[in-house]
Amino acid sequence: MAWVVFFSAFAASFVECVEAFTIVLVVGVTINWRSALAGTAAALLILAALVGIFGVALVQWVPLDTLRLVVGAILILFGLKWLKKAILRYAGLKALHDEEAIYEHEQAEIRALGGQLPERINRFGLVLALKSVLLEGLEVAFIVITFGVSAAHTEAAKSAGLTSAALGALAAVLLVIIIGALAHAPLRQVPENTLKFAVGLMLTTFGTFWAGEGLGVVWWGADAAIIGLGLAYLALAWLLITWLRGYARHSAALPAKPSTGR
Amino acid sequence: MNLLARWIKAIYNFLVGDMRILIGTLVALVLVALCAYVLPGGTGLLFFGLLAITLTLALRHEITP
Repeated sequence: MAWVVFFSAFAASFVECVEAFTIVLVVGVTINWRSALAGTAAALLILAALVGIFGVALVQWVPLDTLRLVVGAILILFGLKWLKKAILRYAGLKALHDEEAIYEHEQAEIRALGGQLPERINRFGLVLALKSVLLEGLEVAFIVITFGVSAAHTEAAKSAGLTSAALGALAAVLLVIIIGALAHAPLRQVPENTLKFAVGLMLTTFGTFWAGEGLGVVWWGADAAIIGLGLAYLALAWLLITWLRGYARHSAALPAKPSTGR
Repeated sequence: MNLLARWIKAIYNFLVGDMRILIGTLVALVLVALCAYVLPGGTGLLFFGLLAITLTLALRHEITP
């Protein structure tokens, strides 16, 4: 078992599962559970087919260095996007991602549609659950394949890496379901921004390392460079948060000026 | 054509969602690929530096009125 891959896939998948679970819960409570579960099941079937086809193809036909470069670049894009949002939230320039608020908002939207919400399968509920689970699930599948394959140093280790990443994602799914079932609430206890910040850091760190290897960069300290990169990104994020907090305070202290037409 | 454009937009939003991050990352990859031939040992630091600038510029754009 590749534990680094397992825990990386677990952490990244956990965030996505929380988001998907919140929507499924809303559909289940507000419309009916039959639509929510049918949508979830359909999304999981589509996901399984996609991973079965593309996962195997990647492992068998694409050279390791090319794969590292491509998935490293994609992880950097994913990671920087998450990191940017998390930094803006920490600095107070963007509202915190509140699962409870999302739950209330989705419920209000569904109720606003009006009319009867029968027990039989409701098309709106089914599509909403399917779309959410498929989108978040695609991100999980992406993380599983990229982490699983790129962490391998040999062709033979690719399958073991994929298994570790898939087990990590599966553990995250099960944990979210268990927490959800016990809490009977949209996982409001999960500090999502902290989790997203950590995952953003992790994706950017691994992405930089793997893309660099794919391009022929020789990292100081070999694999240990991942730790150095992670710490460097953490220091950078801290500096950026400090800078943006100062900016937010300065903006709040300034009196409102009329527009100059810029 | 409309469907193709929507698909491309959906994939772009799914993967990136920020043009500055996309351009900065691509520039970093190209520069690092070129420099890796000359100095493979020191290019890692350059790669980190270019991505740090990319993130800073993307954040700066968010707060620019």
